[in-house]
Amino acid sequence: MRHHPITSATLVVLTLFVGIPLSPVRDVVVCDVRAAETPASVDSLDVWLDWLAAGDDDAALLDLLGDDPVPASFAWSGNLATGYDAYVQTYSLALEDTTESVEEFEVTLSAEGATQGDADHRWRVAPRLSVGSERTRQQLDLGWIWQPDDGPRRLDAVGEFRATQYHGTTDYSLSSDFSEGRGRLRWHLSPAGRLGGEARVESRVLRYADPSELQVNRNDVEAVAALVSGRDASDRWRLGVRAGHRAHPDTASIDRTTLGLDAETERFSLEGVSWRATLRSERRSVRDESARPSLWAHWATLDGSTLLSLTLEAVLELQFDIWNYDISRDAYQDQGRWTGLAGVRAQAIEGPGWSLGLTWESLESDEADETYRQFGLRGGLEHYGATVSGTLTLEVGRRDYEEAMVESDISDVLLDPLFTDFTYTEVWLSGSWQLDERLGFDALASWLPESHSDDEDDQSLGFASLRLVYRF
Amino acid sequence: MNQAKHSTLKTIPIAAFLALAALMLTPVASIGQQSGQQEVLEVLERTEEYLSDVRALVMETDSDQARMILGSAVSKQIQARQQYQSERYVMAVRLSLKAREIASQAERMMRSSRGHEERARQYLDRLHELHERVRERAEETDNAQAMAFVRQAENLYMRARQQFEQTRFENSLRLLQEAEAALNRGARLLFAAGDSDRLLNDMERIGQLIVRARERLGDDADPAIMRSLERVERTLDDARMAFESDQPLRAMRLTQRARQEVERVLRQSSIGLTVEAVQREIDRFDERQIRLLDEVTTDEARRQLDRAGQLRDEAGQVLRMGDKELALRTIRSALNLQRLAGESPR
Repeated sequence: MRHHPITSATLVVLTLFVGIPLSPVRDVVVCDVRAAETPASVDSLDVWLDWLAAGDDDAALLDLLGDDPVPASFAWSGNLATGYDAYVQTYSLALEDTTESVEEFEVTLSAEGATQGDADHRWRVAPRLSVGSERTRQQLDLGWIWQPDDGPRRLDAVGEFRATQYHGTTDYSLSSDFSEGRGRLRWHLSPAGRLGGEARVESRVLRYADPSELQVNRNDVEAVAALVSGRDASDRWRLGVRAGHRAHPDTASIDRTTLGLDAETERFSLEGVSWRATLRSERRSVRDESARPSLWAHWATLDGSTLLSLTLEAVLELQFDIWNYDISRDAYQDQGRWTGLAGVRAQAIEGPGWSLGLTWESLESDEADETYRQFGLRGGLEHYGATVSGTLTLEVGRRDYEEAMVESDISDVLLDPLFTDFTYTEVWLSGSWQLDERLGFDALASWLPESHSDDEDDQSLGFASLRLVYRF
Repeated sequence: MNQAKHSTLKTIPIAAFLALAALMLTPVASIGQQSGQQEVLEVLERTEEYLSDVRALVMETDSDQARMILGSAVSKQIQARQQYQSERYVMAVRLSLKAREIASQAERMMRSSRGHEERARQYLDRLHELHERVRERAEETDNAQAMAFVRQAENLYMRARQQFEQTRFENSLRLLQEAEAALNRGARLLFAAGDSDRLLNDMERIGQLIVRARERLGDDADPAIMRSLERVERTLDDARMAFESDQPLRAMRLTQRARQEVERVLRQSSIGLTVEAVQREIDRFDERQIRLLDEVTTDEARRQLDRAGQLRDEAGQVLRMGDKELALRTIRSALNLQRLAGESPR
């Protein structure tokens, strides 16, 4: 896995020219004439309408009439929520069952004020205060958008501030109080046509009250420039470059500079294949490679779906991520991972929808005993209603590590592999119940038990969150 | 570090086992003069060597959990040393072996979290931007259902970030994956609802299509076809009601159903496409093309006409292969490009 420049170049080329057939990115960049109109972009409804118009030259669709202008105002809304969160991990430690858990009760008061109606300048202010059994948190979000004549946005800015103070008895192991600020300014270039542009600068500052090796102060700055689809384009796409720098005032050796490229394209079709593809490649250069090595990282995804019948569609999800360190050593090994899902999804028109699919995951690592293959069967139910909405996902599968037994070069030691094969069951539940117009109940839960070929390696991860929200 | 040192020593080493057995079968007082004592010391030293290797590995990464577990392994080994000093050799060996077990757990934790850390770090960056984009679109289109997905994703994202800060990278990753799923549901909904305008546009066109189909079919149309059209109309009404009652997902799916049904009915009816009709469109293109090639003066317009000509040829080929709908789409593209070229400055 030492061919990162080639990998990077190949992925970019694939994304732009081969990996995304009929890609509007390719069309616009390479041949703007072709992008103007293709048979694939002609809607079948228009074809039928033209046909039935029988020579009527004015058969084009009627434009929807614009709404009457709404006078601008600044409106506030708020939430009062109380909830409970729990994270649980169990594993065996030297034959003893060990359970680590963090449980937290919290009351949160939040408000949001935003410009409503038609205005050239739109503002947003959102303060938030949470008081919990483990910590107290404050957050303030500010936003500004300039969209002259109620058209597309031209400029926008975001400011965020958040602070957390841990209580003395907290169960969180890393508990230094901290505050963080973020600012972003973005310029939208020619957003009304088929082709648009975007430029952005962003800065972040993070400060800990008691910095340590794992809680490090840092300053980030990043600039991004991208070509994007305009509002009139039939498909959405994006092609961007980014450059960033992270500085650590207390530990300059791990300062880093990042250069990256990202591409994204998506097409939704009511009658054909819908897909979304993304690519992100990044070069991270660390100042002192003996502290932490520099690396290349690539991440690509492809999601597609196509209708099989009126209510049934086939879905395919693929994801590939890879990272290559310049200096591969014990704690930093090159890895590449494929994950995928192929299955069917029944759409929920009346009652719940369902899905069923095969999942797989494989990891290639420079550490031989980490390499594995995993297969699973995933089923899901989903329902979206005005009062009750929810999803339930259940996956059962098996992970097999390639290396069953480690050869030892120490004569008197019998070695088992560090990682052992296991069967897993993963459950995800999310739901919301709107008790009345203002009062709602939200729940999130997951449970992932692993049953290993060696019982001592069994472990499980759990998470639950219950929240009662009153909106005013 | 070699492979053996990387690997867990969870199975009791033979030497340690023999030492332990000897210690248990022999009176403690007499051991000091026997070889068992030396073997106990070797067990302790081997454990320390292993702890040292694992420590180097763990301290280079950011897993607080692995560091804590390693800390308890070191603590056990210190106790083992104290027992050895007190000549309690059985206890010393037991504690030392326990220290190895715990250290191997620390190593496993560290190596698992290492891969999760890098993935979670990238996920956090990537999802932050996806979240902003989906949120903006949901806000702009005032899509309440999509906003519900965005809020759910926000909740998961904030928790994932906090778990990352606590160096619980696997937890963080799993929360991020679920946040991404929620955002994808929201994004899909926004696409499907077509930013509202697109969905309304589709409903409008399907409605027009039903009206025009009725006009063309006339009063003496096949009753079965007319009944099918009525069914499509009811589906479309349901879609409109769903849209008005803030259920865009249901509205989209009903619109999708209405769209497919109306096209199916049209294909089955007597007013379906004919080869002759598509050929007439191709002929119409050819007439205009000859005139425009003489009239246009700009390079861009000529390029457009060239491309339109290629599309016209494709339409002819597709028509000869029998796909009337694709042929009509293709010649329509050609005609649109031709019109664009004709509108360019002379």
